[in-house]
Amino acid sequence: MNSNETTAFIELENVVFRRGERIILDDFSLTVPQGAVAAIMGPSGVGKSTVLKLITGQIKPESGRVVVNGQQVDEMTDRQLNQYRKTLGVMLQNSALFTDLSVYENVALPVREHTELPETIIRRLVLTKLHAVGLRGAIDLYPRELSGGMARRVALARALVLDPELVLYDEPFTGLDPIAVATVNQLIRHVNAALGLTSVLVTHNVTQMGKLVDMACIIVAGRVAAAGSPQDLFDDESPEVKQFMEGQPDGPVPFHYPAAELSEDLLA
Amino acid sequence: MSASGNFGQIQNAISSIGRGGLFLLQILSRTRLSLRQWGEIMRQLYFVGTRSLVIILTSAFFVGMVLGLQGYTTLVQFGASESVGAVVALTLFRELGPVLTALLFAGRAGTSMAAEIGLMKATEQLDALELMAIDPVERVVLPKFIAAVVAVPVLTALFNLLAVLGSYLFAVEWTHLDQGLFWSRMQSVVEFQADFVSGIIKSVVFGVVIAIVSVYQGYFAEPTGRGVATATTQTVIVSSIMVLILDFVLTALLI
Ligand SMILES: Nc1ncnc2c1ncn2[C@@H]1O[C@H](COP(=O)(O)OP(=O)(O)O)[C@@H](O)[C@H]1O
Ligand SMILES: [Mg+2]
Repeated sequence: MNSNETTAFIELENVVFRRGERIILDDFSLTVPQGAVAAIMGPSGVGKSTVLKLITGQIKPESGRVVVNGQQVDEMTDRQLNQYRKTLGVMLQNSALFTDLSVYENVALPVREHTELPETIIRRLVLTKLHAVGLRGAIDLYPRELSGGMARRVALARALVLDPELVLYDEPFTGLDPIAVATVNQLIRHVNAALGLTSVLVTHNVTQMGKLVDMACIIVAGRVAAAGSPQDLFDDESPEVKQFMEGQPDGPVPFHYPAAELSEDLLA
Repeated sequence: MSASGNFGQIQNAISSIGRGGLFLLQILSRTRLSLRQWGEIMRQLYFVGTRSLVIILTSAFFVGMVLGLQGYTTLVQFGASESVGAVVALTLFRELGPVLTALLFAGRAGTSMAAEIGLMKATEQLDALELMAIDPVERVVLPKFIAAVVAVPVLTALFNLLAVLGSYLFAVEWTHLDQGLFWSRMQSVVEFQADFVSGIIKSVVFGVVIAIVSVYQGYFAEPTGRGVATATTQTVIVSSIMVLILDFVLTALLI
């Protein structure tokens, strides 16, 4: 093992993953160093959430390996997966708050489940995290009473409440107003530094990515089209990376889900 | 439909019974005698109970009156109208109580359970639990399952009680049958063990069937609005058919 590998926290090695016949990830490799904030970018439907699901062990690769913190996730037993997931914080794409629990109970749930802490400590933990996302006043609300942006912030507080080693954020900025975007951005940066954890976020937001991350990769057609620091990506000359970073409709990155020619479909 | 189509359907039915059985084992293996789990079971019991109590008691009362009316009109021709209470009680305890309670429960509470679990799946709440290292079967499915299994026999006993009351009111208040005769005929004909208890045994089996069908349909629903809708419909169809088939089987065994 060389010194590079010892500092890697997440390693996806030559991962192949299919949905039915369709190949989603084709010989996909990614390394995220310990303590980094990394972004996964790419057009919709390219497989960004799929990468997160491989990291959490919800799905297994057809071939290749997924290694997190020295443990091979795709070979874990259910029991090992459970232990592993206690060290994860995950913010899912649509927040996934528990609809019959209040905001307070949503954030408290992982603490109640995995610790024996007394109620006063739980309360302090939950309120601290909710304060950090600006929602300490919302503890008695139910998820149906929250706007999309508020729900995302509660989900963020819930993901962080047990001080995980690795946090995964699936599109954390979607549905947030500019102030909340800035708050969440700072928060991700802050917890990453303060707790010494590793963060991976999926985002389309090139501007926030530029302000926030240490490294990023762009997925195109199942592979990493470019990876490196934000500056590396902004400077990248390859047409597919330029198209994505500059948000141009035309270029080598396909906007369409694979299909027959339009004329063929219309005439069929 | 072609023979092979029918064969395919039968094959499908058998394999879903197999999958349902495996799911049942999985649920049972998650039983913890922890305070938290029992708290959640009691909460679910309260939900399914309050949801179905009114509809079941109302139906019971009218079923009792109708049985009283039908029984009386027939029996009076043989000069045996005082046996109406006995006839009603036998019909109720052995058949109508368990079966109607089960069907009403499936329609009212079973569908809600399926829809709730299906919706949690569609909105990724079950995924979120798994990602927090919380087992969704233990946390979400098992309490609902146990609550339904407990609720059905209790509701059946209440159904029987209220239906007897309905027939009593009809016979005594409407046809002016002697109330002493009504009760004493019922008492001498109905056997607690053979009639009442065997009906409750049936209802326990029906409870297990409805509970497993409902949670199975919800848990394995396609995670979309349409998937949840299909799950609720299937819950009613599959549990009703299974209850009626099992009713025959159990009657044959218990008689
Ligand atoms: N459960 C699923 N079943 C079948 N196909 C899926 C499923 N989830 C995702 N996909 C497909 O996999 C591809 C990648 O999905 P995803 O990783 O969610 O994309 P995104 O990059 O937008 O997060 C999509 O094109 C989608 O059609
Ligand atoms: Mg996604």
